[in-house]
Amino acid sequence: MGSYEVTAKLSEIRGEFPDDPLYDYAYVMKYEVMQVHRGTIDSNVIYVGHYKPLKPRSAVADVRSGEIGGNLKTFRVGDTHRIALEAPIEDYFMGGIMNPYSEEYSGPVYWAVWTNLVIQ
Amino acid sequence: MPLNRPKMFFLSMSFLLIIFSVPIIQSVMELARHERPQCIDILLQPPTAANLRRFENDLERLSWFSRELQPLMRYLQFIVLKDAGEKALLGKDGWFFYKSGVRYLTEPWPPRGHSSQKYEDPLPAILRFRDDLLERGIQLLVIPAPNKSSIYPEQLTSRAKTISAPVYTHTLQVIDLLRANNVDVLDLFDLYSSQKNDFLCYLPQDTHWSPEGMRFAGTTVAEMLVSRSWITKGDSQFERKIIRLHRYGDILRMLSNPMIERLYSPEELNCTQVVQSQNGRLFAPLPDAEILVMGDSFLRIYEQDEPKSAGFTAHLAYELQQPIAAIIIDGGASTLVRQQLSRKPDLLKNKKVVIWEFVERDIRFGLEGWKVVPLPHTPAI
Repeated sequence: MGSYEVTAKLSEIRGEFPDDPLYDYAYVMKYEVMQVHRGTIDSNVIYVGHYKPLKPRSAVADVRSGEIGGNLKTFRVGDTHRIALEAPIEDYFMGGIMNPYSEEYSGPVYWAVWTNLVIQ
Repeated sequence: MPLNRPKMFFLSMSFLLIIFSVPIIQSVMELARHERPQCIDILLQPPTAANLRRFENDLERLSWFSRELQPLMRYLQFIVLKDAGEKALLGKDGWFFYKSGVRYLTEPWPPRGHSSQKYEDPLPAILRFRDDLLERGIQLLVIPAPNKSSIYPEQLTSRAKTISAPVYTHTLQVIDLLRANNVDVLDLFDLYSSQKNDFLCYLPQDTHWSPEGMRFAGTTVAEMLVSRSWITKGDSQFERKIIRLHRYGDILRMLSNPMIERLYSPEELNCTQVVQSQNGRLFAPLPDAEILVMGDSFLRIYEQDEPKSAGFTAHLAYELQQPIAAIIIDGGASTLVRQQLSRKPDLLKNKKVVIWEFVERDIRFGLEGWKVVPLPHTPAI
């Protein structure tokens, strides 16, 4: 599942996740890539959009997101995630994309299909 | 009677145990699951306002005690105090209101003093979008969708009956400003206020318009487009069939409390589904259509949700007897829909009209505020 798979450290969550049950959105976060397991990713830093980040990954999938999931319960800076990804995000997710990096980064943003917490 | 030392010590220890038992038990449970104790997070990030708020929210959201005890406490709170929690307000006769909608009506606008919203003025964003479309020969119609509390304030509080002026003065200011700048706006507030005693324009348990209110808006928009000669009616392609369904409204569901839900019956909805006359297939948006409709969950309800193809877009297609293209993003009608259009400018191909709906409260609370989003320079037409 996912054309790319990486182990990466969540290095920054910029801003706040809107806490509104009526709003559906993907939120873009910054990662430092530690290991690439599948696909080719040239940069050490990637930007990944997670759907409804306030929900545990196991309960987040709906008709708008398609099949996504994982065992991650919450996003915490400094945690390491193993993530299956697709890119660019617009081709895989038709909803709203909140990207706090849009004014400084114009490269591809990845869509998180599966996100597991790596316990170290 | 003064307490002796052992009693004082016992009482102090009891209080400390009560205070610290919750985080200690939570941390032990997290360690048992080989997770980093959540309370350590506060030390790992700079103490910015955003980080501290996220830390606090995480503590509340992931707490075992909160998860186990909250449903019962919320139920008791609802029964005894009529308090529907953080997101909702209980009105009269089983009506529920979304708190953000009421906040929008009651708090000052523009916000006084410090505002966390960076792009809060809708006017520059709407004018730029209108001008970018006009350059391509495309007309824009703006539709602020009223909050339920703007149309039925008397269902929220009896005091509203004594107020003769409209309660949605913020939105009237925005509509007046847009019209002064030659933006075409459909004022649903006036229309719904004059019709609200003839039929229910909104669902008592939901934030959105009723099927009847939605159809009324669709018919009005279709008449507007034709009367302005922006669009001519197409050949007969669509017909309607009646579908009745029962479901709980989104405000009641967002309480996430089955004990409260059981106190109410699901609402009966009289929907009409739009189907293609030739083959009976459900209406589906068509990217090459002459009309693009973009907006939020007011467009999603009945269309992408059950019963499907029975929402605003489908009914506009039925009224005009021609296909429609659509961009629908829950809560994202202020900026995210325009960003989406900017990323996919091919959607402007063949367009004559763009209809832009956004819920009234998003004038203040829309995701990403009101960023100016220029459309790509190369026309996709």
